[in-house]
Amino acid sequence: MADEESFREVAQAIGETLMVDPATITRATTADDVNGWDSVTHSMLVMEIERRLGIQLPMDKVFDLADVGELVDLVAAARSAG
Amino acid sequence: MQQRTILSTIEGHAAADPARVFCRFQTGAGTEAIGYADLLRRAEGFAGAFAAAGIGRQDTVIVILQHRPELLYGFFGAMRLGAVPAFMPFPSPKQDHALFWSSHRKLLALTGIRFILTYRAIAAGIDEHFTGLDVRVLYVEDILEGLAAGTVPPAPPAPAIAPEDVAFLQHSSGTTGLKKGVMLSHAAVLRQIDRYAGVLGFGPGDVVVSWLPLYHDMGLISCLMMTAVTGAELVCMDAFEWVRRPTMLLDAIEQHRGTFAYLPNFAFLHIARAARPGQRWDLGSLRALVNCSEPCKPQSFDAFLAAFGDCGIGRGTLQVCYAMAENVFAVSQTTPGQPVASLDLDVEALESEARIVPAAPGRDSRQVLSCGRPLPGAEVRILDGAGGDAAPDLAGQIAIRTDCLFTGYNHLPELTAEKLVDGWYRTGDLGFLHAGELYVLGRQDDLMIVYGRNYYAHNIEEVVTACDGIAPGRVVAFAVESRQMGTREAVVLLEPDGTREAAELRRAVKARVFDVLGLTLQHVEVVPRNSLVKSTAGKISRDQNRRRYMEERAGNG
Repeated sequence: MADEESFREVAQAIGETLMVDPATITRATTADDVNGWDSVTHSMLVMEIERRLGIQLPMDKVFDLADVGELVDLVAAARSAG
Repeated sequence: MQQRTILSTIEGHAAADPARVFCRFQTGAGTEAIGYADLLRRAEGFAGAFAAAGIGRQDTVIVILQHRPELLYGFFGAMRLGAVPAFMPFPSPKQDHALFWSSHRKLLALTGIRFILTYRAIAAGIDEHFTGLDVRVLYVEDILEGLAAGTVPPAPPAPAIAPEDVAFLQHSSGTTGLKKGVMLSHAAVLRQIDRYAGVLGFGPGDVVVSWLPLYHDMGLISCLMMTAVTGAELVCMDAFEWVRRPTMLLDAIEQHRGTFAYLPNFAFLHIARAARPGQRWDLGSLRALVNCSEPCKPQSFDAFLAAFGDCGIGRGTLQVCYAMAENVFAVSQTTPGQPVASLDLDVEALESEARIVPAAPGRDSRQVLSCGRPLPGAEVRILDGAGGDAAPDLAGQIAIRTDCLFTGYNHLPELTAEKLVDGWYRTGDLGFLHAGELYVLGRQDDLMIVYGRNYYAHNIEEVVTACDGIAPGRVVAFAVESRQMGTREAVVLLEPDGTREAAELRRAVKARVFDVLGLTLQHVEVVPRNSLVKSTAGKISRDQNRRRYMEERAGNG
């Protein structure tokens, strides 16, 4: 359940930061699939997720992810730790 | 008497005050204070290792290193031998290393550059890419080990260096093979810094805080060289780290009482967005935050002041500079302490006739920020299409003549002759003069500036065309303005040849452009066959396709 909620939050944050429809985001979505997703907007996305959920994501991991699924897992882990 | 060079000025600072701090070098591991004397001593060690490897006067040494103090020791160590150092970008962790190194082959073959300084850790198989070329790769790990073990021989006596000798190269944009090495002499660099420091009132008491990479002219000149030559202090951090945590720049300004920082336009917005509600910094030590390297937008200044206007800065802190590597750096600069002038221009007159007309109430207008007055010793002309002086109310190509222009492009005499005509450098930028101040509107050619870095559209198209799955020649690249990000975004439209699925093709194109150019394309669209617009000359038209793309995007959004 926590995973689903994390996914929803991440998809909403992606939608807001990158101005895309959150419904088009899946766990398999990669940065290359979404227009406008680059290193600067990725850091904005991370800040947006942290702000929404009041969590801190680990810097060393959050910039080295393969897809949205891995980001969601990282968010879920940070939420359960918090 | 010895003539003045960049190194002799640094030696002067070290001799005057052996304890003077040159740089506070921030890395993930902490902050290392490097004194002027330390810098010279460490550079001397690197010079010994370089000389033992056969590097001598006028040899070019390409420095491809991460954000670590060795960057500085390698650069100034080469300069100590009268060699010519050149910083070049370090590959990002996600870049394909084999492709990264092979892309340097063309540049090395064209220029005869023989020496590269990098890490063994990223250079596996590097020699395969340079077979047939006389290239020697030096590894920082080996040099540091040799210096620690005391096995590095002392550097030979310093050669006599003339002020007109080339001090270093600054490489322009483009695929690595097509990068232009801007040759800058000691005399040009010193004259520029003397003049520019004079305009800013910049001196030994100043502290520059920077996240800028040193292969970029803003990081190399306005931060590293300005500091080294004037005897000031530099606080520098890793660009990759800064992108992830933009407010670390404010932390450093507060902690070290920073007086100057240079930022491309997008960075003002990136920092302003990153601040959390209630977070505050004491920025009262700042004399200027200078916007440079990409078109400066009033909205970025507004957003920055909205976020930090109560942190000890005001509109007079936010400044604009117009600069380019070919002039070492600054051509014009606004006055610290005074708000930057701006003009509201009539959009229709500007776009249809390049005419500068103040916008009447109710008309579509574009606010343009001044880039300030030309520096002393700099002449600026605005050229019409025929190369003559444009009428005073028209915008045109900016040409400059100064006493700190570059020596030429390394091994590219024809290009040098094309750009430097009768002592005037044709910048390719469009602009105009008003009340003695320079205003810059955009580019005349296909140069696109994304996050302060320069890329040519035709370069991007060449790289994309080489990908499998694209109909021959059916690619167009251009930039569109992103108001949200305060920069321009790179767009590629391509027609498929039907052999690859669209999503796979988009990924392949993005990966290829990233590996070769280090650029993340923000938008890649696979469009139907024969839908790209051609000009009457039969070439795919960047302008028309860009216009149509913008209309469609506006329609969708």
